Amino acid sequence: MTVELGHLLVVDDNKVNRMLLIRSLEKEGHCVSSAVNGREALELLHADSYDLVLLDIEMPEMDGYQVLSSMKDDAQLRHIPVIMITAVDEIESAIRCIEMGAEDYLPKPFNPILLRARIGASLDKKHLRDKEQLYLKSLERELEIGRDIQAGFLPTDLPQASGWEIAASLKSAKEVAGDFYDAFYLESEDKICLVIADVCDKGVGAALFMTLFRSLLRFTIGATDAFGERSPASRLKYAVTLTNNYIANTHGETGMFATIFFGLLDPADGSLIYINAGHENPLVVNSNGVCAILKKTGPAVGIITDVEFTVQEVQLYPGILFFAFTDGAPDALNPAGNSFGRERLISLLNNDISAKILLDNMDVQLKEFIGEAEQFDDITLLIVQRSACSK
Amino acid sequence: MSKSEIDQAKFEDLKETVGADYIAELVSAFMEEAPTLIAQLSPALLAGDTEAFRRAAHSVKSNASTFGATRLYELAKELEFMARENRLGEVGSKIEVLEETFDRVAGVLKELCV
Repeated sequence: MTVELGHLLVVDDNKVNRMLLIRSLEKEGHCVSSAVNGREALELLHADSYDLVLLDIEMPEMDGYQVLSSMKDDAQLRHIPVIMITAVDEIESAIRCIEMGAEDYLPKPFNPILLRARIGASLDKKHLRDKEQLYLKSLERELEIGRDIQAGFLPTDLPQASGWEIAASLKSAKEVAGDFYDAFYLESEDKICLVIADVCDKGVGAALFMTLFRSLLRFTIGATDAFGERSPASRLKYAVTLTNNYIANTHGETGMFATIFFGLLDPADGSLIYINAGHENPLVVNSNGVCAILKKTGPAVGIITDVEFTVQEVQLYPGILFFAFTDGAPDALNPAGNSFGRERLISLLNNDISAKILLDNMDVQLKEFIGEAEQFDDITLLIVQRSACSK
Repeated sequence: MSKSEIDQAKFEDLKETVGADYIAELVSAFMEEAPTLIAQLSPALLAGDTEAFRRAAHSVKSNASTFGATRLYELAKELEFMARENRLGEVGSKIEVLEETFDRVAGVLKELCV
């Protein structure tokens, strides 16, 4: 039988027991340290790293129960397995220790085969757990890299046309997000592209598709000019259709899709043409409240090829606010399990403050609402404000 | 001196576990530790310190079991239980019996280590 080797700590006030255990364990090839009471054991545990503790129950100063309890309360020591050393007639004490989190118990006098087997099993588990921790850490590092790369897919600077203010935020539920927003100038048209999208599902799969959707939309809207599509409406339609067909044809078997709102804003006259492909309806708000709901003009992107996406238009007059969001915002849950709700979200809209302040305010309200609860979906907000005095 | 104080098979197992070269060292630690523990019993009894009495008896019991000293183990266990159950009034001459038994065990162990 191959035995996993480790750094072991023997804790026993009885010298003979200590010597016997140290000798037996060293013969097996383990590295062994020892402590004569609980207090000394805890000091050693904090000073060095151990794979296993063999702990006597009956000890002066600080007994085995107290040591075990301290270890289980300590995040640093909690995961070190503890095998209790008990007399054969102390099975009740052993049971109590196992209930308190001890890994196993070893009856005295020690049987060498039992000793080897129980220590081997505990060390196997400890080493597996150590490997798992290392793996988790490397996975976390990878996800961190992924998050940084993904952050690079969001625009660093939003277009700031005269008389307009654009603000956006994305709070991902996991390390990487399936939501995204985009805002950029369409150079040849002097128009501003506004995109908000929610790729189905969450996590790494959604994040990979997010980069694909975002890149396809950016590329196709830019390339449509070269294809002879001249009018803004036809360019918009062409971009969404090409993206839809590409995803459905090439990645149809994955079942991945995205709800997308894609708008082309003319900052000169305030006209916004758009396609709402299955996305949460954006709102246009004036001083009297919601004055337009930009309803869906086509299905979600990437499901079926050659579906019809209709282009609609809305006028953003001076003083007006355009607000788009992903469902993570109204669906956000508080610790009691209640959702934030559309009404509450809409009630926060305010034309009298800047888009950035409004966005920050919404972020704060959502954060406070979620509190200690887990954010289960990505939350993306996009606000476009036309100043009241712009012509 | 009776070799029956020690369970020979248990002692041989122990010797095999720790190695023939180490058994004398282990016995020597027992010889040092046990008299100190046994000497704690009478003062603890006089002081009515049940916990100190129980702990000392417990340690003697534990060591006795390691070396296969069956009678010593039984006696120490009995004393430990008396303390645990708060029956120290029943100790009587059992501490002396324990001392005598230990002396015999010590003699046998010395012989076995030669």
